Amino acid sequence: MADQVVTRRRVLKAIGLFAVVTPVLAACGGGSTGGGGTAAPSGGSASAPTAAATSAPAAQANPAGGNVSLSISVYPDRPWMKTKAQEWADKNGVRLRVDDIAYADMNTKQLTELATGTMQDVVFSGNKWIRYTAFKGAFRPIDDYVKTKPYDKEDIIPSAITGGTFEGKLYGLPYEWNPGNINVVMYNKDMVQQKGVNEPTDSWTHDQFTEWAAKMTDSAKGVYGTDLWPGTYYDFGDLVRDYGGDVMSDDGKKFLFGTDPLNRQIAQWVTELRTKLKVAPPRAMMSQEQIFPSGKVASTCTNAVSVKSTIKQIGNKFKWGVVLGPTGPEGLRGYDSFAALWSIYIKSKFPEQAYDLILYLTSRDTALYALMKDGQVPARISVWRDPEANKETDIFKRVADWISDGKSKGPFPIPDNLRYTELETAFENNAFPMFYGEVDFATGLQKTQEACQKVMDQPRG
Amino acid sequence: MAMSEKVFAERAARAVGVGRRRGVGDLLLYVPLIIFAIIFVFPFFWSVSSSLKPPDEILSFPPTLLPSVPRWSNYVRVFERAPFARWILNTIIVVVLATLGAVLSSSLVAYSFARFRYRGRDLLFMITLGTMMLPAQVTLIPQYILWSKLGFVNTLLPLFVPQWFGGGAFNIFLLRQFILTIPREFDEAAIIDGASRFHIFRAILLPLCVPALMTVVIISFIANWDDYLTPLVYLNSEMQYTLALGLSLFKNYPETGGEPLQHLLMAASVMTILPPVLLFFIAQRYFVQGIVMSGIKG
Amino acid sequence: MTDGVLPARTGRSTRPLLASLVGVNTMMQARDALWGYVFLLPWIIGLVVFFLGPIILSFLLSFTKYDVITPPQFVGLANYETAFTGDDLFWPSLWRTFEYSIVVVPVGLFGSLLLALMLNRGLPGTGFFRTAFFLSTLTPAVALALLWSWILNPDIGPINVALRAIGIPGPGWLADVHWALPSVILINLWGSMGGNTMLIFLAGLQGVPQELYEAAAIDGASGWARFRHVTLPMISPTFFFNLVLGVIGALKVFTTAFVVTGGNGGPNYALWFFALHIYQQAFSFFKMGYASALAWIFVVILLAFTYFQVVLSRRWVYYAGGDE
Repeated sequence: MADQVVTRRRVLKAIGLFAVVTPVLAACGGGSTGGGGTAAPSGGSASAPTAAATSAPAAQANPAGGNVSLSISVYPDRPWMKTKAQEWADKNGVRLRVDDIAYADMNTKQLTELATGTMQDVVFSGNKWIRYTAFKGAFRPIDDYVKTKPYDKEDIIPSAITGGTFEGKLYGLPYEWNPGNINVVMYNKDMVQQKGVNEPTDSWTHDQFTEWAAKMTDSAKGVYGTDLWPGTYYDFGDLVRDYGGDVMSDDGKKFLFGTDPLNRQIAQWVTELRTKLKVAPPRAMMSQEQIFPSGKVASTCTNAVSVKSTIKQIGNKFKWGVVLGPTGPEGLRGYDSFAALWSIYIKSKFPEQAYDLILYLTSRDTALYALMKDGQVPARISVWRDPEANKETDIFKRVADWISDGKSKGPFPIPDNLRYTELETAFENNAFPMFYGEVDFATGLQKTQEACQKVMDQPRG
Repeated sequence: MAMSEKVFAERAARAVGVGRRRGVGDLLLYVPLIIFAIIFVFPFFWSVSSSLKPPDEILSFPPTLLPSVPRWSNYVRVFERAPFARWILNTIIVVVLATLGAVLSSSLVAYSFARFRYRGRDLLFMITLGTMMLPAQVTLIPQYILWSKLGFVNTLLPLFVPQWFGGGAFNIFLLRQFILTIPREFDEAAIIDGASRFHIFRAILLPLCVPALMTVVIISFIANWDDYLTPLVYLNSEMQYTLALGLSLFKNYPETGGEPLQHLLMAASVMTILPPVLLFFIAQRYFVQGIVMSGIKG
Repeated sequence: MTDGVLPARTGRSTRPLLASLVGVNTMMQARDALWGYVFLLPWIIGLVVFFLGPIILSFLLSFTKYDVITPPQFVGLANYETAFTGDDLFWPSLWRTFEYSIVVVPVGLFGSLLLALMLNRGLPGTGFFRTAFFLSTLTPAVALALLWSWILNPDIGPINVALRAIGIPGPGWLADVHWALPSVILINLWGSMGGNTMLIFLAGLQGVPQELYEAAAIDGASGWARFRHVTLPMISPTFFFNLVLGVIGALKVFTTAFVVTGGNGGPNYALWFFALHIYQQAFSFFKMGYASALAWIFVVILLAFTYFQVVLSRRWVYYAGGDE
């Protein structure tokens, strides 16, 4: 019996140890997230309001007293975000917590943060997702703040602002903008000269592009003329917009890929580049890294903002040139205005300060800094035209001129029910095999149409 | 008692492969053994070799078997490109705490299943085995909701705390089987001497269970080191990532300044593989004994 | 259970009641039984909090529409109906999972057995080979996927380079619609064949009494006959154990497919396994209710498979001595 007492004490000791260890770890686990580990569990209520940046209760009582703390999510491979946010915080005596979130995970992670009430005061988002997240009630509309402290309406690209607008309310300011993934063509000048083919120009058409790619294809050497690849429904939409059409109806309710003759014609053209004309590489080669810098294709259809890093990859391997993507017969060059934006968490305790931070992060000075430091191309037309941005090539200026003329269609196509991720997955898995000629064209077209329309037929949210 | 000890010793001896007679035909066996060994080892060799190549050599054709000059700086570069050190630290925290929890709690539970008689024991044991069958996806969503309501999403807690509550069915099963092979006479002698049940567990059974415990340590270490789904679901910010998750993130890092990633990815993979391999080398003798002697036969 | 501790220490009168409550006869045994419960306690809690509770909750959720952010809405059987009739990926993903399992399970099992048989001869260097085989299991799944996507690189991966050297154009492996599934099968076989399954076989083989072989040898049985009539029956319980675990593990295939495809299960849904389908619905599309329904369907399938294996096992599993 005496021994039993000792035993019980030992058991208690073990339990005690566990009880001590767990909170310590909780603290340590939650350390860098602030809100997470140290927040008091809120008894399992449906919406746990453990707002992210409430480390000091005093701060809530007296926001004007300078005791402000904010948190911001940034992505790790863009150091300018961290630097500039911290710079603003230091200037204004604000305590700042910075959370790294991978850009690719942002959509999912933001929703889990929303569900758990741990979202940062200032978060980044892309216009693919921002409306969905706003619909879920994540963000505070900033229209009122814009009235008192307007952003630079002259300079910020209007379609980037549209990208952050949902049901008439503005949910963020853009720090990045680009005209889509395949609307600029870089080509290998050495190859062009060897072949004795004319160099492309900014005014070339789809037909001239196809012809050029055919001339540049050298099957003996295993070199293809182009790598044109509509990897998303909106990339494909850009091609249709070149002809004045679109990939989905303007109300975002009907997918037109398989139902509209124009869409069909473009889809057939894209497919035949590989199956019939054989001027573009098959899947196995497309899945490799850097096929353009390594000289396996004569040209690459790319994003304007990727030109600089491609130039670095090419190094001294060959001379290159860059032109705007081909147009349709009437000179239209459709695009999809992609923007990434900063938004304010609905439960932020300091929305005004958060807005100030956003203004700072989207200012022209920050934009230029981000461009120099990290090659981040901002949503400001003046920076697209800035000599500094156009040093190695003036393609940015040419893009700015092209989109400023306002002729071509450019809003980012989003389904009305906001189910972007599902639509994307459905398109990718159904259309790719068709484009690669792995399935019959008619079947592929129909399957893609059905799968995508099915996603768009679902209710919102 | 003497009888069961003999059986026990025999099994242990066999476990390490003592006392076999050999024929000439056995020599031929080396051919398939070596072929298989090459199949199993070559990918490691290839990843180590790739991890030491300079960026232009890694994409060169035809590929070289060995790097012309081993570039150890690739390994340093991994730490510069990604918060790799932080990921290692997070992983160590999770793995150590999860393993500790699994060993302590599963051995207690196994002791209970193996040595006590009470109502519902066999039913509970069947349920325990049944949990092995459950796909993680079934419990994942409610568990996620639970942790999120507690406010512990994006902390390391959901990754190791569950291990303190039983340590998983397989570990319990393995240890129970092992304890069953230890003669009950040991316990009974101690009870006569007045030892408590907990004392028997701690002073008699645990020391005898060392091989099985080491097996649990290794299985649990590897399982947690390896775990991808749980961190994928629970961890949001990059600084909270574990190695497994970080590695998959690293794969999608954009190429800054045209620097390709493949050689760094291989260096990071090698570093991720190394710790479980080292642990296995150190503890493999116990590990194999633990599995063999627990007499798992279904 | 904790309530029961008090009477155990104080109340003489509760003795028979307590003893019968815990299913034993005497007070001595009852106190023992209580200790049994105490030691079991962590697992009871774990079972309730991390298994039974979630299972019940996910069952309830499977009848709702739930996005974690807004409260669940009851939708009756709609999720199950959608799964069986309205989800274009439900049957294909299930079928793909079976396709995968039907190759991986038998090849994996017999491969592991073969490796174990070779190691079981106890040749010098067995330790080395055992370690070499086991290395692959120690590779974390993510590293496994990365390593193999590199080895299977269609252009400069060593496999295709070797194939090209002997005049065979290698396939696109993971990038090819038709080769993606075989590639993942190959990767996962490599990663599991020399692992725990092999060790458990080894354990089973070493548990076969040497006398049986000696007796068989005296009867003039050939090597194959000894294997067929002594080894196989004697290790059939081990085989059964590995089979059950192997089937469950194969049906749950997820991580490799997820990592090599960056989560999108492509090309052309070639690697869109059922577990990935559930994950995508839950954590990419935030359809927690629907995903719960899918998870429940998954459980029923796994249970059915296990049940059939248990039933069938009575025909071929031989338990020496008859009991456990």
